[in-house]
Amino acid sequence: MKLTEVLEITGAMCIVGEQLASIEVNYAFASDLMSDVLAMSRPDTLLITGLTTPQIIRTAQMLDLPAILVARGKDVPQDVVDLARTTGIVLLSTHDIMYVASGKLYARGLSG
Amino acid sequence: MSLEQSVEALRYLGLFSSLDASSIMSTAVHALHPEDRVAAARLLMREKSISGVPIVDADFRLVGLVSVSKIIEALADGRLADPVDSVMTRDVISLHAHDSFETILSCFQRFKFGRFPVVEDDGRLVGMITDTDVLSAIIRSFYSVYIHDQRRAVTLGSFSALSKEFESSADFVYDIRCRGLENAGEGSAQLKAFLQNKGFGEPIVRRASVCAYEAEINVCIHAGGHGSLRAIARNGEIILRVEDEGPGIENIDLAMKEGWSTATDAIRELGFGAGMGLPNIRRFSDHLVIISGKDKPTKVEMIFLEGKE
Ligand SMILES: Nc1ncnc2c1ncn2[C@@H]1O[C@H](COP(=O)(O)OP(=O)(O)OP(=O)(O)O)[C@@H](O)[C@H]1O
Ligand SMILES: [Mg+2]
Repeated sequence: MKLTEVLEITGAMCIVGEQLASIEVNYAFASDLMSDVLAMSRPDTLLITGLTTPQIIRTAQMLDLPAILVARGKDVPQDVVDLARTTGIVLLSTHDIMYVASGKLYARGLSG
Repeated sequence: MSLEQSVEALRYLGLFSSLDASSIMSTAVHALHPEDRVAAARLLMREKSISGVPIVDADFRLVGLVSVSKIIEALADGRLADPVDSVMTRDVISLHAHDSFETILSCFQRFKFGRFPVVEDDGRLVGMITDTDVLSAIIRSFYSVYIHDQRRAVTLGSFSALSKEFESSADFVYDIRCRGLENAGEGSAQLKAFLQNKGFGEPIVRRASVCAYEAEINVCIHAGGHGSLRAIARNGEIILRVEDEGPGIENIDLAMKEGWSTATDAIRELGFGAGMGLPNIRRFSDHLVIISGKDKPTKVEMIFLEGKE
């Protein structure tokens, strides 16, 4: 699924990601516990999380994940935005809660 | 690998560095005074199944030792009623309470006795060390090591060589200095860039980075944030070592269990504390050794082999 579709489906806005249009993900993974995310090792995965700490970026960076969707419309601190920019990771934010965002994407064919 | 090599390996891993005579010795010591009779020494040895009785003065200062062979001699000469003073060895080889494990081992190697009295600086007897005490100290040390490998002994051997190399020629060194979680993960990010630069393939870089990251985060949330991350990366092999300054892991087998965590709710709100970090490290590394213990530093050493995915 193209990240542009992810935006459309979840009504998300793009916080960081000029490169967004060219990126596709094949899977998504939703969790607030980073070690659960790290246990999975599929690079072409969208990380959906309710957290806004620098470690969500670091986690994506270690796993070569291209993009993160922050759920529940939380404000993302500036240092986290900056870190996403320097590490080249797309950062999206939706008002949907994690469950709803996941459900919508799953229903449209993005598998876990 | 011989026992001697194993002990050598464990020594390089720093496993014995905190063991001194006072932590190994048994303190339930049966001693006699010079004026006690040889018969009393014989009785004591038989009842307590010991092979030597230390002799002390009124202030409990070590003045001699009566061994089984002295008793046998005295028996043959019919001198059981004499004071032990007349049969005891006076120039006793003894250990000091703060003698290192190395010193203790070399004492056993050099003198071939089965036991050594342990004295304080003022000469007072505080304990005895037998070869059994040494052996059980070695066995106890093993409880604070976790090795994930099919060929445990071989890994231990290679790690012993490595530990020396880490000190002299690590390719990558990062000082972990964390306040809370703020910059936690920066070292692993730098490591990842370093490994990519060196031309390692994506899968091995990912595995090594994830494991470094888990270990670095652990230093930040469980060990006060001070430590180091080192790597030796050459010939299709990445070797990582993450170490901190304590407080250590009391039970490593428990810590290796999926879902086991001592993290607080505050940590969990920050996204950690699932109890999955160490299990992840085990899964993604090809060889793993963890050395720790209560109130000890924690060392996590991992090896990644290119093309093992
Ligand atoms: N460097 C360390 N120093 C002290 N204790 C540690 C260290 N690393 C791990 N531990 C102990 O081992 C436990 C398990 O570690 P592990 O990394 O598997 O889980 P966690 O850190 O609690 O949670 P997670 O890694 O899933 O975020 C920790 O809760 C902690 O008690
Ligand atoms: Mg952890």
